[in-house]
Amino acid sequence: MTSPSGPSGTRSSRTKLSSVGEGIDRGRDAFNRQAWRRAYEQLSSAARDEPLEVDDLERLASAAYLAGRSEDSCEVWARAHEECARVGEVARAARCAFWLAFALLNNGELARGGGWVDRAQRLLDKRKLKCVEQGYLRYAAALRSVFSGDVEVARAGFNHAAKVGERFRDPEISALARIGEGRCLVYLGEVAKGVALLDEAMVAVGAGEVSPIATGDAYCTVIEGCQETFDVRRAFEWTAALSQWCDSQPELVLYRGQCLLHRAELMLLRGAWTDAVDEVERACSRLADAVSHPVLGAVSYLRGELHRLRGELSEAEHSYRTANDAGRDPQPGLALLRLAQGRVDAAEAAIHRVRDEAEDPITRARILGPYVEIALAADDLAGARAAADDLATIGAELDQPLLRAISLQVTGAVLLAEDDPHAALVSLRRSWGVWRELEAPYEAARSRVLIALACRALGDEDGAEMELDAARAVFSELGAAPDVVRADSFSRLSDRRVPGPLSARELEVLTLVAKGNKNREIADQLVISEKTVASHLSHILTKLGLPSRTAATAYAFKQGLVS
Amino acid sequence: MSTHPNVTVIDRMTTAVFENDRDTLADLFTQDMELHVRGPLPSAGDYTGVDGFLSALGTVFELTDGDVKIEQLFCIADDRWGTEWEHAVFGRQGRTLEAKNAFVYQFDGGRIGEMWMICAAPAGSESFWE
Repeated sequence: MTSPSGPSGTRSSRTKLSSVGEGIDRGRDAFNRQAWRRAYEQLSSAARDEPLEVDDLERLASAAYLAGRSEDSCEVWARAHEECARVGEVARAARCAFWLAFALLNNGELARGGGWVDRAQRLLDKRKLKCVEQGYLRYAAALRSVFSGDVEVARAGFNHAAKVGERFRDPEISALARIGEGRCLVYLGEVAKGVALLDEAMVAVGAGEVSPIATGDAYCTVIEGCQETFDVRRAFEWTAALSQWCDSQPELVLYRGQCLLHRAELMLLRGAWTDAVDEVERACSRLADAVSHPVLGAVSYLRGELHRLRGELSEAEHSYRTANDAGRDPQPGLALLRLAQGRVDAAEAAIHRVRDEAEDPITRARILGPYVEIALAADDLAGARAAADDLATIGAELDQPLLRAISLQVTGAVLLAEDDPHAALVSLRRSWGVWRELEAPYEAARSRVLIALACRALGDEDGAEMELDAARAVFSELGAAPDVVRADSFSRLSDRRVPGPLSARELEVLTLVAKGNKNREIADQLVISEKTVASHLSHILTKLGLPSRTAATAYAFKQGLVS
Repeated sequence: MSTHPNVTVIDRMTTAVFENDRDTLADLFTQDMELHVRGPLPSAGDYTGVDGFLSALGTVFELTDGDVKIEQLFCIADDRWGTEWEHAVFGRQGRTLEAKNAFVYQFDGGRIGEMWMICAAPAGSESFWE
């Protein structure tokens, strides 16, 4: 005979066990379907009732990481590591420690990440164990070196890791290590060799031979590598592949922010600024509950760039500060912002400091364009010439259209300042041609403004005005208010200028009104309230002495704000 | 007691094998180094030089698709001889084979001049490699 509570207690336990088992099955099923959030929820819920097996702990940790729950993921990897170490599965314990270190290192936590690498390495060394995990740990150690700035040591480490991966026929570590080595080679100036390694490694990634965590990391690392080498074509190609990969996993959070960031960067180049703003906002919202500081910094920096280009200077300042707080150097954008604010001394001091810190040519190349612009504004012609020549040398070595266009543009600007409009015109027309090939309207229009100045210096006033008109139309279309004002300031046809002291933001609102947008739509596009739009519109009508919205639209067309 | 330099040579050789580091192996072997593999292994036979050595071990990595774990249980050496005992775990087509491998090394001026590898796998383990 059993006590009254006995059978019911047993039934309850059985029911609970069965429910836990079902939860684990559902979690595994969700994991296999790449439904990371659901896999995380099911498996973590099951883990509260019963300790999970190591296989499921690994699934839970991976799902948590991909669902953007990095801290939870680290905690589960640590648990899996301890469980494997406890039962003597040393190699597997080292693998769990690797993924934990991978997450921490990529989040900028070098001390914690490095500690786990050392711990796992000691485990393998103590047992004198030779296994593929040795390669994984070599990779993690190299990752630590690269984040610490020791690129040469990192390159050697990635190379070793790749060799171990090849020996053990492990596509995952082989691909990750080759990508790491490729990035290092780029930094060390061996660009062609580095890019070839990146392409080679991505074959395995594209073929689905590596895990989702490694796949996302590989895409993002390669895209960053393409951006560093100014390789727009490859950046577009890999960003499209990353977008497709992200879209196939709706519950993916981890790499979604990076994906939107990369897309926004390319949209900015291609002149789709409104879309770029949307992508940046989406990236920020994706990152809000899954904070990844390096990405948050990059997204904030890009947002700052968009605000600066549109003349929203205080918003730009705020975004650059946020980027800085998240660990992203806000330069050269902040220096250009100071220039836009008329604080030339501050801009000059900042850009000098940044250039002096940029040791390798790749980093310097990103700085030298803004450096020339600021040096010219500060009447430092010798400094501008030296920077333009440096950029031309780097450009010749990298041989990428984007860098060639920048180099030709700044060389043209320097030649103009040196009072050599003939040579300037040659350089600037070539620059404009490359920008057009790259489908980069904003930069192409900036080249046209300089072409206009060269034409004027050669006495061709008609040519100058036509170039200014063409540039101005592009700036208006993009909402690049400061550039519209600048183009107008160069125009000698006073009736082409926008009369009245319209602010950059008002100019932007007027352009959008003229394009037929309602206040609600304008508010959405500019990320401001509908009430603020109405207020801007009221000021515009007052300043221009116009009676209505329709009159403002007619005025905008007449002024060439919209084509 | 300090580790004999020839133990370090053996450890360096093992690391070089797993990193496919041909240059290091060439440093550690005499030019005419001979390897003799015995026991139920697909690469049983005699080999010469770095190429022969790597081809013997390469067969094992190829047949297991890299699913190999090696744990060194002990290693001792003097100026002329060295010996090593290891526990090996191989995986192939969903099956696992555990074996003990014995190595004997003959040194010539701090380099490996001749080595013997004897695989002590359980009876019937030949089928694992078929």
